[in-house]
Amino acid sequence: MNPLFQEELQVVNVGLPAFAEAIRTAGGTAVQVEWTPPGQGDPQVAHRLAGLIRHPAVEAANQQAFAAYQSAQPALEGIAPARAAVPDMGERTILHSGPPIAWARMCGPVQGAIIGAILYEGWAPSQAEAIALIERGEIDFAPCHQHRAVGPMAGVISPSMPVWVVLNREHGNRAYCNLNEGLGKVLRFGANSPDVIDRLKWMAAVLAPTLAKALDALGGVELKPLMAQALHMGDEVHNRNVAASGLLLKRLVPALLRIDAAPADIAAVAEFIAGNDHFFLNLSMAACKAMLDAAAGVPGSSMVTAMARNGVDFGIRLSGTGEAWFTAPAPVVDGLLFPGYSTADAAPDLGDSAITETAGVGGFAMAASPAIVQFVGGSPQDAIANTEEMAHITLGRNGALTLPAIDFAGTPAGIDARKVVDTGIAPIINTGIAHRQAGIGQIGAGITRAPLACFAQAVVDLAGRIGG
Amino acid sequence: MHLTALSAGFEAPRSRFNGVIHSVFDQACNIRVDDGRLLALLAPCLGNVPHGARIALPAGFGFARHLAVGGRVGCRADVLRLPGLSIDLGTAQPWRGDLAAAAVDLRVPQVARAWRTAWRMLEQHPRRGNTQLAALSRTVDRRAFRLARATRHLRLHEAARAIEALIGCGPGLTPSGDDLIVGFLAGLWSTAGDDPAQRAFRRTLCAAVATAAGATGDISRTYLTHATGGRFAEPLATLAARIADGAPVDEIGRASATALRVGHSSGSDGVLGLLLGLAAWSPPGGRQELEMPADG
Amino acid sequence: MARATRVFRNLYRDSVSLMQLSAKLGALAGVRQASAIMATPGNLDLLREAGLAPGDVAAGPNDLLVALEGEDEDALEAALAATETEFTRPAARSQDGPRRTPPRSLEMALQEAASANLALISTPGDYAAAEAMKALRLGLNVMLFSDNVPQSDEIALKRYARAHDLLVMGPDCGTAIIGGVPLGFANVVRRGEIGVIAASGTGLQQVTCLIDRWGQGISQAIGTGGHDLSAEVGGITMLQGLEALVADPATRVIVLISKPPHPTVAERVLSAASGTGKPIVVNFLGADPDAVRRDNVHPVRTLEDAARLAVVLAGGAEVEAGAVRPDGAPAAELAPGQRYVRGLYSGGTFCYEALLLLTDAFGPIASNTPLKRELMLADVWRSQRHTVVDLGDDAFTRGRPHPMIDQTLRRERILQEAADPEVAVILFDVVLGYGAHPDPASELAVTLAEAKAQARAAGRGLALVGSVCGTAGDPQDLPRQEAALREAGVLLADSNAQAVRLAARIAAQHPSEPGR
Repeated sequence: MNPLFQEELQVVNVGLPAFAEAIRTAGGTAVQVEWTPPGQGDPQVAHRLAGLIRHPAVEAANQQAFAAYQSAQPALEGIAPARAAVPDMGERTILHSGPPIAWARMCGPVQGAIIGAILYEGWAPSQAEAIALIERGEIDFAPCHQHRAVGPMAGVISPSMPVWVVLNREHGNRAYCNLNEGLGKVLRFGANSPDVIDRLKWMAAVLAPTLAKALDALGGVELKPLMAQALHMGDEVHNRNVAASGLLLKRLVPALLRIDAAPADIAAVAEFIAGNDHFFLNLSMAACKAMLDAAAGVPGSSMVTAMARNGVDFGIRLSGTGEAWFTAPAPVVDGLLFPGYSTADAAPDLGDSAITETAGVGGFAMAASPAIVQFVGGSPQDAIANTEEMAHITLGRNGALTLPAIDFAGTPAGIDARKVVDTGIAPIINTGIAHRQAGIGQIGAGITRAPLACFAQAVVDLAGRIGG
Repeated sequence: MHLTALSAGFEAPRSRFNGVIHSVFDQACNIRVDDGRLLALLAPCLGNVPHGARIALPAGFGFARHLAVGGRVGCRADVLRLPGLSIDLGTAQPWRGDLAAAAVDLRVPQVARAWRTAWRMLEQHPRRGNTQLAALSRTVDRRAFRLARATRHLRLHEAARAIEALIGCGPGLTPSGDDLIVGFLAGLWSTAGDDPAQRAFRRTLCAAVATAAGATGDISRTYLTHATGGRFAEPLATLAARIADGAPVDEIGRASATALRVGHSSGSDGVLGLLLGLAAWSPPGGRQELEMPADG
Repeated sequence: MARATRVFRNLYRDSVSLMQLSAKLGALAGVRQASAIMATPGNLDLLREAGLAPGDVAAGPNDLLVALEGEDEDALEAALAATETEFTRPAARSQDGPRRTPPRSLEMALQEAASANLALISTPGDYAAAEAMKALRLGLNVMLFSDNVPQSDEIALKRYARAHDLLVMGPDCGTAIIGGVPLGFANVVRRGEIGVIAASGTGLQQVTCLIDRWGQGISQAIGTGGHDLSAEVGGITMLQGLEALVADPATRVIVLISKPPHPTVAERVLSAASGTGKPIVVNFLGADPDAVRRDNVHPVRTLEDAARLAVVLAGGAEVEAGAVRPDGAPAAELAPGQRYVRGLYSGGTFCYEALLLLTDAFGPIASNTPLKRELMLADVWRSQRHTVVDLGDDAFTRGRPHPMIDQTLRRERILQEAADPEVAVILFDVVLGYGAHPDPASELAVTLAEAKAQARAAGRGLALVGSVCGTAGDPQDLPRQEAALREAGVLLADSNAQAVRLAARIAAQHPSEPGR
């Protein structure tokens, strides 16, 4: 028998706030929901979402997916050329960040980086001939994510570029990411001048093999403990990687000194890493990718396993919707721009680095990194508030990645697309801002939100799959 | 934070209720449901109890860090919501803590050997606190042996008096006397068999326990009430089942160790009660384990 | 040798902590022995026997007792103080800190109010069913205030609710009173032993207000929404509500209110009602009483009769019927040719009741919501002969607020009717309660006085007849509202049914049309 009449009435009020006030005036209790139509006002989305709430198949699938994410143990296994390591990498394949996109629609930095990759590979001698090659359809493009890889900003990976190989020791899946080139004129912002290409060649010829030897000597590096330690040192391992890069270097140096390599090369490698505060970012991304791929492919799960942008579209993938992408226009990032630039110069949101937020770090771990909120003029309290807000849209918290500022609670992780649509709280993303033209580089950094439209589409698709 | 339950006892309130946080420990938390029942939320390592759910907890999680006594809780559609925490009880595998009825027969040599192995484990287990509490414990133990002797001779009146003397007595959150009774009843539930006199005795004794349980705390009373219905915590139930199987020494050793580890003295009190209860009607090899062991 | 004990109420520490505490206290300077144990009667006896506790410790089995023995009182006092500090240290971290996100979804709200048991949903109709389904799936009962919810959604919601032992009131449920709390557009009525289930919002308000006026009270008032008793929905909510009220020990009498349900549904409801053992008063407005009557089931004709009978069945005093009489004066003032009643209603069920009662008196009545299709007004903005309009109907509210909230339209119409030389009576309702206009009578009184003056200037009289649906507990205060209307010359009845009958009597004093 329904116990409603035997209990004290406690109301949740969805809609007219006057009703909640009347209830309180009359001596009852009411909680007001700050309601907005889910799915940007599409009643169909609201309907499909309702069918997924407390759906046993979704709950069970999410539990399984989240447990897999949580138990993943990403470890840096080594470095190898993309063609050798990355699965299904064709002879003339170039990977890029974000969801799939045709050449003609690509943003400036991605086009610039692709041309750079063609020059680097030696498939064409000049920019013009590189473009001709592309327009003849001789180059295959694919998102990094489709090949278990990720890349920051343009995210361009071509066959002979070295990639980090990260193994999830718990489940056996691997993830890949290119190596960070540093700041200034770099391929990931679309620069493709000779100095950029030369640096890439040095990275393949010296940096990668030297590091590979060091890693062999080390027997790999467990990445989750390293990230956890960095979170306790003021990084959120997306936009701030100072501590993590230092910790990695600390692990590498003794090994570098033991391997059989030219002292000049070792010195150059150590200097290169020491000079780049973002060196760890690409490893953080690969680790996150490895953790999330472990959670992918669970039928019925509404857990988000990827958020990625190509500078035109923002796309997400869910564990329960296979390889499907759900996209919306990439937003322009609200942030702090370097002197001399304005919002008009900024490219829309770009890069696979939002894989960090998907995995519960980056913007989700903002409480660890009050320095980051400076980008938008916030306070340390805002940083904590951002992290706590994200806890409303996640399946749980990652007990291995704890945040001192919130009493060592785990970072909120495992975005539930249902909760995003239901609450209208969009995932927060910390990111760099690229100039809209190729080759100019980073012009700022800031905070943005994933577009809600992606999540609405994903929920509708998932509901269709499970008949919810 | 959102957590999920791994398993839940059959008597655990699950689908819809209101309640209040009754008590909080590091690895456990009790909810007092508005209808008076207790729901125990437990770290997985504690094992099942009839009125509890084992919760998958992130590393380093402690209930005491997150919850405060007195907070209102509600359960709707299988989701228990506590301040700052929600727990999906819908995912829990049901756990039925019934004892294998009348399965223990100490005339079978392997079963008697299993019983003796457990007894030796108990004797080796440190059971005493400081001198003042140790004195209390000895008094309580003596009363337990009195209960066992009265039971052997089916002397109901004397057994009921022993129950009254044990309820709520001794150290511990669940006082030793209560743990001894729970264990003892587990022993009787495992041995009464078809003997009508023994079954009638057990029935009456359970009624006496149910009445006397009003004189002890909420947590203890919950265990006692379930014990009168033949439902026990997993470590105790498992040990009883292993003894009934006449399991090999190492298995008995493991089951005993698990049962002995519960709480501070609750484990050893429960095991002592269980072994006394099992032996009450068929002493293994006619020995005198029902005599009070030497002090110390 | 000194001894001291202290009791800590409802304090639970695990056994290991208790043991450690005993050891820690025992090791303090000046303390010889220490025990921290549960203060059960058994333990208190043990301690007394050992001489460690005084005879008169006031403690219960859920309390913790610390008993100490040592050299001097000061040392023991210090030890107890230390224990106290240890126990009063906050166990959980404080909840305040950075800004908290206000609840943005039902699920977030539940995290703040874990024992919530009802969702009141008044979002636009396109989203309302989805929110209601979420609420049900989260284990909440639902009051769905929103209208324009498709019937297929209503059926899906109600079937889901029934299967999960939950209640869906609505869609289009304007009012309910649950556990003494008024929901939506509801009145503040005293609590009592009469339970009401109504498919009509104003019907529910009328019955509960009259019960309050006549000294009895309401246990629960459940709105079903207007479509519940259709063949398709099958009366799921009314049947569930009936079952719940029958089981509710606080409810002794039950009132059911609806327009005549679909016959199969009516049969189901009435046969369920008849077997309950509690007296059930049924007002299926306009239905044949003999078709309704069963053992334990008492059919009544009007909302007022429903309230009156319920009051008596609940042990209240008999209420005199028809308490208001025309004192002759208003009719005497009427000029020849003034013969029509014009009903201007804000409550749909009041309008319907007026149509039924006036039809009895005068035959077919024109309306925008007529009893028969052919009586539909050709132009809803213009009355013809006897006319009763529901100003809360879609025809009038499209793009405008409801007349219970905004009386502009009704005030214009009052003046329009007063200017018609054939009009004898203007009949109306005023609805109070949460959500309604904050002071409807004062505003209406101005217009009514103007209407009367207008008629007088034209050499005619004009009878103003109305009733106020509300209670003394309502924010608008029933006595104050009634006083304002009386002052404006309104003949006030306790109920709408009485007001309609009074209006009919006044109009009947001047025969309709010569030769008819």
